[in-house]
Amino acid sequence: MQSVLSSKTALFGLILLGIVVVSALLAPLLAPHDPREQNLEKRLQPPAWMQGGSPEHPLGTDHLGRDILSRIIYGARVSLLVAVISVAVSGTIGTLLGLAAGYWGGRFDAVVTMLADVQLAFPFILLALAVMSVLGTGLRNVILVLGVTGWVVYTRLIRAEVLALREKEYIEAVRALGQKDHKIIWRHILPNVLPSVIVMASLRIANMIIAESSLTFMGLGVEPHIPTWGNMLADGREYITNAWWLATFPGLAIMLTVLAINLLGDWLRDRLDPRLQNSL
Amino acid sequence: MNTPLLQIEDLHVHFPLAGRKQACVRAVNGVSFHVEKGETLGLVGESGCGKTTTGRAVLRLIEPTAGQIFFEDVDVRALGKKELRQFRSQMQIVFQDPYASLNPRLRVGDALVEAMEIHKIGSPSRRPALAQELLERVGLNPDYAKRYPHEFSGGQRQRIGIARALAVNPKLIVCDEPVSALDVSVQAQVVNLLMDLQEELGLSYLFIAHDLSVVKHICHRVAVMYLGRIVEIATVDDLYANPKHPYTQALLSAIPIPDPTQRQAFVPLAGELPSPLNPPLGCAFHTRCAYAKAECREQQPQLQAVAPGHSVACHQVGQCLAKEGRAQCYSYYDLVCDELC
Repeated sequence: MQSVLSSKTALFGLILLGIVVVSALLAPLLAPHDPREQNLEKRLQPPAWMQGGSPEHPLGTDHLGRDILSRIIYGARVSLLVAVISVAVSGTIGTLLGLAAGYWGGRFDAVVTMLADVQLAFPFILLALAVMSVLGTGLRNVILVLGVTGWVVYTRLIRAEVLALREKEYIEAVRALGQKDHKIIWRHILPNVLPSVIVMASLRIANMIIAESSLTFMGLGVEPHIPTWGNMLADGREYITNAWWLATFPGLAIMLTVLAINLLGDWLRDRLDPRLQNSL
Repeated sequence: MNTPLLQIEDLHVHFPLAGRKQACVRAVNGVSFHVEKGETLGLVGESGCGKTTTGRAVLRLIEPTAGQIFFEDVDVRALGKKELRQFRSQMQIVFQDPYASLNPRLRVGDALVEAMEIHKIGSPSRRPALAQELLERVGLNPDYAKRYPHEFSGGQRQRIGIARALAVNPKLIVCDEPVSALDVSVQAQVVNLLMDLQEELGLSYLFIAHDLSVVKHICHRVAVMYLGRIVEIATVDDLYANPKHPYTQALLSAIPIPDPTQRQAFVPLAGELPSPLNPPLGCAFHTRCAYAKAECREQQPQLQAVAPGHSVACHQVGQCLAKEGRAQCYSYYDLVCDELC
């Protein structure tokens, strides 16, 4: 068995992601402060190692005097939840539609392709705006919007790959054996497109974290009192010239999380390829 | 006479062109032949003549546009979707490209077990052992069942492809250029394997190829295709010794002779294969034929018997036979044949 421990980059990704997941799970134990506790006397305090900083707030405080480290720890909860669930939903919908459209072609394919083009032509923010104003804001609806609108990239990618795979002789061989269509898709086509789905999903997690931030920034996302990396970035934007730590630390958190997921995604893709198993 | 194992009547496969209503590519344009039990019928012709499409259409991997396919007494074209799936164990296919014909993510043993699963051959617990037997039968180590396709060479993969076809106990195997992607030494091994299997299991082959030396070795009868039609069909000895159709003669003269002292009279073919989108009227070969006369440009020649089991579709051959009992207009070509044989 190929272990994640034997790949240094994958191990690095695993450790990073592990830290994020543990922070999210154990946030109340790890966070030094209540993330919502305001202290206007200590607003815009710099990180501990800078002049004017105090060890009480290791990464400083924001414009309302809230502890940035605690907010980042709590923010991991929302970011991970939104990203993972919406990627799972959109990845599943998109992959299934792509498989069916690519394999059967015909009218179904035409409809799916048209829907995908329509959705791509429609600005995401506008669509989200419309949906959120109907459904109302809130964590669940953010996940719903991101999950349901994210299918297009998967569908287009998978459809194109299936179109190429369908002509392969090994697919023709199982057809000649009399295999049923759904089993051909499940046993022969899906395993061959799965690596692309995984790479795409690991890239999309980053998009989803940022999309959640954008929605929250516009007031269409998660309720403002919940700390998320997105609304921390949004808050920090106004103070970027005189208090850089407001936006930098949540930005760093997003970057490291995305990096960790990408590293793990690469490893998983190689792990799923029997041709690469001995060379790793 | 017994009914043949496979009987094809006037098979057509036309591919419509997107955007143009009337236009279509006539890949296979009225092909008839039969394959006897235990026989190998060769299907030869240059690239694009429709031989691969014919093979696929016989299996209904490509739906024929018209014509009839009888397998024993089953009307293959009349089978419904489910019946066809069940029927598929009777006819199998071995592909040209051994690198594209095995799923890279499926262990060899699992691929064989899958084939048996579909047709409920053996009990689920016995199938892995049966898969190992199949590998042994095609000359591979039974332990290879646990390996993935990328661990094998082209020749070994082709053996696995043959094992997969055998897994469902077919009576007929369509071999679509099964050795043309292999090294010459490996070609011989795979051809011999196919011949041994035929002897052991009484298989019939529809052997599609463009390598005429291989065809001569393995086939009992040979059909020569040109632009979607069969132009000549004969027993292998008859065809190689006494080719009638000018196209067959040109093809045969292109076989290299492994003897530098023997010069061969090479009959060149002028021009390219015409487009099957817009085939020439009359005899499809008239644009490249040195003997074409007016009627060749107007009337399509039909296959007619010139000897028992030997049919040719050529106006000129028919006429000479009628006059002299021999194709005298081919005196030059006859010389070529004498040298060849």
